[in-house]
Amino acid sequence: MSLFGNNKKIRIFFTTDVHGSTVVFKKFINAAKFYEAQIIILGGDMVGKMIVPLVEQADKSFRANYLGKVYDVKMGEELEHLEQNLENSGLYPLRLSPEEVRAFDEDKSLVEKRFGQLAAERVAKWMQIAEDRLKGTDIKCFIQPGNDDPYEIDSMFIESEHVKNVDETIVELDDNHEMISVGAANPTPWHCPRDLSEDELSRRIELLANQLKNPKNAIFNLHVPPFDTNLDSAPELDQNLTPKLSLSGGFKMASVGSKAVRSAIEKYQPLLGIHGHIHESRSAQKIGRTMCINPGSEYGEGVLRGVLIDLSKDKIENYTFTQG
Amino acid sequence: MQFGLVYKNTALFNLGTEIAKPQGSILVWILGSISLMLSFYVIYRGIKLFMKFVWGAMILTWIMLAIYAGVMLSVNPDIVAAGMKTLQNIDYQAVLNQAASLGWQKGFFSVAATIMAGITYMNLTCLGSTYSANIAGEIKRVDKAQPLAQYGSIFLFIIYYQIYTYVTYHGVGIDLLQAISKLNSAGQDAAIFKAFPQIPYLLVYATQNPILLLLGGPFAWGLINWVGAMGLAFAPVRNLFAYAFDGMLPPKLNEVNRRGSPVYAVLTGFIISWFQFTVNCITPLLSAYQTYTITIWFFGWIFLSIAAIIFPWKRKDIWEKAPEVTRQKIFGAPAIVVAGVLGLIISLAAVYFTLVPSLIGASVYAQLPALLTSFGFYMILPIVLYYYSMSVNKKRGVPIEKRFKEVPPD
Repeated sequence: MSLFGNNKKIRIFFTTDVHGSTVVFKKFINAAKFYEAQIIILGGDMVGKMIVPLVEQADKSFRANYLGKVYDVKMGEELEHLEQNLENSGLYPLRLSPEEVRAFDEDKSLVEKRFGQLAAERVAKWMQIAEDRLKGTDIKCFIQPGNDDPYEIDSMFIESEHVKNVDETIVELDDNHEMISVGAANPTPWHCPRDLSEDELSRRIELLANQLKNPKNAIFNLHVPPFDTNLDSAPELDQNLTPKLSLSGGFKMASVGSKAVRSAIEKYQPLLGIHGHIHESRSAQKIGRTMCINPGSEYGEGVLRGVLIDLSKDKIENYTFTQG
Repeated sequence: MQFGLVYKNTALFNLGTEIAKPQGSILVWILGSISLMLSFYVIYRGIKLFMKFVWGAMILTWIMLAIYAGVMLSVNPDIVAAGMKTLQNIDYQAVLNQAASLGWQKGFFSVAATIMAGITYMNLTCLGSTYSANIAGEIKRVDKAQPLAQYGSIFLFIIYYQIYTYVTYHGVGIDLLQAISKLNSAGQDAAIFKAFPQIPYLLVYATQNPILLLLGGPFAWGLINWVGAMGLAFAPVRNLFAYAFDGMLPPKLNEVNRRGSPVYAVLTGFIISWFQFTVNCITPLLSAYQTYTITIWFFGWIFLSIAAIIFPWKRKDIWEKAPEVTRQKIFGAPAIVVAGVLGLIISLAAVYFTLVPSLIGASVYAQLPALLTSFGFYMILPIVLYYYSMSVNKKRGVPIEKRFKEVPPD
């Protein structure tokens, strides 16, 4: 069942890698109305990077140590303001007593467990925001987890009229365009929950691509960008995961995208590839006839980076990078 | 030109004179076109090749300084005067007398000129510090990279020019330099020297050794400047690419080839540069950009300074998340605001000092056509193109006006 009529143009808003930033997620949901898009897609990596402990002090104030800066805040408005700022930067503020901090220090598995819970809670909160805001509209919201996202969050995705988890599925956007989605990625130095070998990634993409009625008009929503493009350039790391420097003083960059994704795009030559994963590689590049786009990410600053794509029956009318 | 003087070869000297012509020389146009092609080819090939040129130029720069300083320290104004007499039959004292007849006084000192020179050098060091951003792309850890670039470039610049200026004063004499400057402003220098006597040119009066002249004189100077200018060409290519990326120019300019080189942006950059160069070879109408480069730079800095002043209030959300060093306060005001105020004062002063001497002078009417044409071409045309692009995008249904507007989160 298609969403739109046969000859209508559709406008898609695509963003990715929001990494726990609630303000960016809210902007993503509002982007549909703001940019007059019928479909909004979030390409993966929904969870944040870390917990920031807010440790209760003897005078009932709270102390947070974040990125080398100490924040002392009083209970009430100050504390809530700090928590909101941290949440908007994609972090998980957590009020803890000194005893709880000691317990976390002694047993690191508690931290991991709590991180999973906090991540799942935030995704659940977001799903509710999406549902509330999209209710009564014709807007479709497609979301998928990315390689950074732990499996604990999967149960938080709600299937509703407006919001759908599209990971490893095929969706018909209209009578002319189908979309396949895979949120997993090739191996990263951080051994993320959904990192897969290139072979396994290739198998999962093939499984979906094989079922497409018309691959030439399809959209490949693959979280990781194709290898050796402008979309997959990231700082090259040494053994200590520290970026190497180049002769010119900047970081030495390397291609870190997926060869499986590239070969799938070369083989099927879909209309469009939408990708993320590499935040600093905001770019668009053609592989054969396929336009591949990575809108990048600036979630830490609360900025929604995305791309608006206008599709007609069998071509991309235009694409426009946005920064909101 | 210098070799022409040393070997008393008129043809060689005339060749140098021909190359020094600002307009009307086919030879200049051919050599300049080749130079531009080479520059943009290096940019097209990418940063690794370019950096090899930069390191080569850097090494040559210090070799040139060492040779130039060695020669200048080994001579004095009397030896230079003798050189002038031998090579071109120019009388050192007569040059001073002619400048004096135009109003120059021995021991002359100009506050405005000194400030102007200081501002110019400061701007050049800023160019040096942004050089790395232009050629290396996004700079991470700006808290470390930028101070290093800023202070590093200022430090190198000061050291270099202190040595260069001091040895020139020692060898040539400050009086001759000031006299030449006065004669130049009156358009009388070329008649005496048969050429524009820039400082590296004066080396020939101090030594006639061809190797020292080659490595310490205008040839090395020109080569270094060519590599430096090549780096500057990275910025417009980056801008063309970015404008296309932002939808202001056709997306073709945003495409890269298999090697990751923005081939169409490079090509367009070359065509625009070549067009400007060709026009400059024919007429001086667009040349006011060269005369008023500093004015135009600082005109832009006025807006940048105002942006810095209002930033903490206008974009409080970003300000609050800025690195600690940016949010530091000086006398109770945010450091960025203090920097903005200082920048605004300096920029306004720079615009004043670079515009006023020419506008109040007798040559104002002669300069006006070039000034107006350059202003129209470099200032008005981009604004017209911007609104044209906005209109085209609007017709295509692209909400260009919303591209950088914040999406309301609530």
